[in-house]
Amino acid sequence: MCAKNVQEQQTTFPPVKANPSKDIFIRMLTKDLSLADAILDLADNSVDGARRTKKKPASYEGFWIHIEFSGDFFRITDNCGGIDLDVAKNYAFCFGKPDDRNPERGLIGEFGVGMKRAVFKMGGKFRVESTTANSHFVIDENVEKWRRNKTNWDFHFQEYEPGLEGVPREKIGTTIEVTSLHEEIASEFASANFRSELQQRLQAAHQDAISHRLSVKVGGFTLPAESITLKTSPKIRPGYFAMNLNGSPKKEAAPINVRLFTGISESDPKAAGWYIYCNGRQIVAAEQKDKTVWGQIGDINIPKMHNQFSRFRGYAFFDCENQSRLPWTTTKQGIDIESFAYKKVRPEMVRMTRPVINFLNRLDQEQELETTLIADAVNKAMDVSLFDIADVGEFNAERVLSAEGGPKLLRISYKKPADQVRKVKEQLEVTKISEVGEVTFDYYCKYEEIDVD
Amino acid sequence: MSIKEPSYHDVNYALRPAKNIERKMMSEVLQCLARVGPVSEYQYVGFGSIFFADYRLFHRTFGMDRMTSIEGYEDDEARVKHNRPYDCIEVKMGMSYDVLRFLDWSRKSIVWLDYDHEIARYVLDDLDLVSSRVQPGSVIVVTLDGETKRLKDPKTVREEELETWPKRPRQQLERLVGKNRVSPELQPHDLRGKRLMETYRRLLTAQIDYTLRSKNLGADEADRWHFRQIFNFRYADTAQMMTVGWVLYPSTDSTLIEHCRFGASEFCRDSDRPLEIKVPNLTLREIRDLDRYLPTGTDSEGYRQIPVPDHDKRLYHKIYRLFPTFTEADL
Repeated sequence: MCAKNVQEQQTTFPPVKANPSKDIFIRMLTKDLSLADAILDLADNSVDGARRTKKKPASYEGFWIHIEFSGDFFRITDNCGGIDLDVAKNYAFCFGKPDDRNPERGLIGEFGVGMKRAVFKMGGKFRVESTTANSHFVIDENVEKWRRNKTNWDFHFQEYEPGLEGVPREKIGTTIEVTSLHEEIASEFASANFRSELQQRLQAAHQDAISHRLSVKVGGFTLPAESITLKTSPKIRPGYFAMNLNGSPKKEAAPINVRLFTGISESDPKAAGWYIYCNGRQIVAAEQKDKTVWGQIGDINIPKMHNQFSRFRGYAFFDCENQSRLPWTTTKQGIDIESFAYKKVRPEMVRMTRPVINFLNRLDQEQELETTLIADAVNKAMDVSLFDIADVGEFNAERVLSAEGGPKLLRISYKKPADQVRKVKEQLEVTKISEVGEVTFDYYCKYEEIDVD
Repeated sequence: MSIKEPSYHDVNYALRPAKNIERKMMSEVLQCLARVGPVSEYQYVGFGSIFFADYRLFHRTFGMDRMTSIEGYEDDEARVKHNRPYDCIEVKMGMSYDVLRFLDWSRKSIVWLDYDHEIARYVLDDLDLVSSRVQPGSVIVVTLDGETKRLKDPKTVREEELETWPKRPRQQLERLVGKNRVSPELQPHDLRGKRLMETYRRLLTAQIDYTLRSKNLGADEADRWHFRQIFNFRYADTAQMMTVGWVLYPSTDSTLIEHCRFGASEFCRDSDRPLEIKVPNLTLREIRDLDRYLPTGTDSEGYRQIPVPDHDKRLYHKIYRLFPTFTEADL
């Protein structure tokens, strides 16, 4: 077929439809995230509002988010500045973030899908009411009615008040309410287990903001701040590394501020690993696989996560005014390992991990030898908040390791019939099976007059 | 169902008066089930150990002929089987979570998960499994050791793991049941003293609630499952123990369950207020003397003159019908 023919036919062939379908947004995209994730998205928007309006950079004092739900409704209310009328009209309800929208300074809600996806996931009706210092609006929609109109994607204002003056501060904020809940959502909302899970998730995701005085209430209960700590003592110093990623790949791009902390904490196999935060929002918790540092990364080999590393903790904070430069995935539940920022920082995370792993290996070997010098030093160390760690440097516990000494010890292990062991244990009046071995050994040494000193 | 040695090596369950009374109280409440169907046709699933005290009582009271006892301590298999009081009791060796899933749940059941230890993830998993499988009108009962010290020194955790056991009660509970189940709303006092048992009760209740909600998804209103608490006992023969129990039924059986009138039984407890079983120490002679004036003669001069402290008299009055008498017998 010659080129001319193709051109002629293109003018007469019917177009190939590539329209989006509302169903994709209502039914499909909502499957990509859990209910707790959807609510976290809404809370992210509130935190963004607070970030946008707060006066002191380090404090969320005076800002609050209240989340309430039951088998009949879901409601999130905040006093975090409200949604600007222009933003509501042109951007906030769009599916995807329009190209002409400038990235905003240091925010969390990057992908412009969150609010709609969250309300679609939960129920068939939603109402958004928002008041700023100079405007007020209400949008009240029935999703099913909206879905039936195939061509018009607009939502409609029920109330629309631009140019207000003297709006009292206590009126400023946003309320999103969802009703006609889907059956499975109503079921979750009525369950105590879900309530507990959501509280835990919110507490972890916004640990940073909550510890900086943001008040988050779930069902009337204010989530307490849980500070992130690492064990510190004159002999054990956590690792701290800070860097600014400037320029490249786009010279004019906003810098990414990176802070890494490594060290040890309570032994807990499930809590061990790396934690990653983007603009204060936790996106990865206790990562123990090769998405962070475990296993072979480039030329460096860190062992795979193992119980002996259950005291390991690593924290990576990425902060950037242009949130699109942050290394997170759309669900904010994962790290974009191909992103510029993460590619630059990951080798540092590996380097920061190594000395802690070496130390924990020594701690493990000490258990084999049955001495407690290193364990004692760990137990004596205090929990210190990450934000109080100021000295830049690698994790350092050399002073503990150099103090090691004492007689060399060997472990003996053997098995004996349970009944017999039980009888000996009773007779020796000891509580642990391991003590049965130790005391009987001492007994032998004593009566055979073997000098153990 | 502990992974360490079973507590029946240390305690003679047949001789624990509060536990004995608890069984009888349960038995009285369970008689209400007759409205749902003959209790003799229920199957009984429990942890009989070597004493089978509950099996004896329920077989005698209800005439149940299908009874299963789960025993986790493999070394005692011969001894446990030797002690079976009736041939209708089948002993299944293994941990509860391994055995329960293979049981036949086609009959209505009374299931007593009579653990001798603190709450644990597998306790909630067992409860999940059983509550998802049982037939309408079945009863599930869970007993746990409610001692606060068990958080610090849990029986279900291996010695190696205890070496790095956290110091704070909240973290201890998180390790036992999973972090997501431990609400930030729990205050330190919820994990101390008797409040710990209420926290356990809530965790158990939340589990059944969650299981049934999942089961109900997509079901017609008539087929939706509900549960109602009927037991909330506490007692301390040695360790402080707690027992909670529920009846499970679909909407179609709601009226039937109403007719059971569990609430009319003085030993039924449907709220967070437990029935504390306290057993006075009395001699056989004192028991005989007190019995002569019960239930209605407590205002009489003769009753007042029995030289037993008033407090013990009040305790005895509450449970005299169920009071066990142990005496030495040369059989």
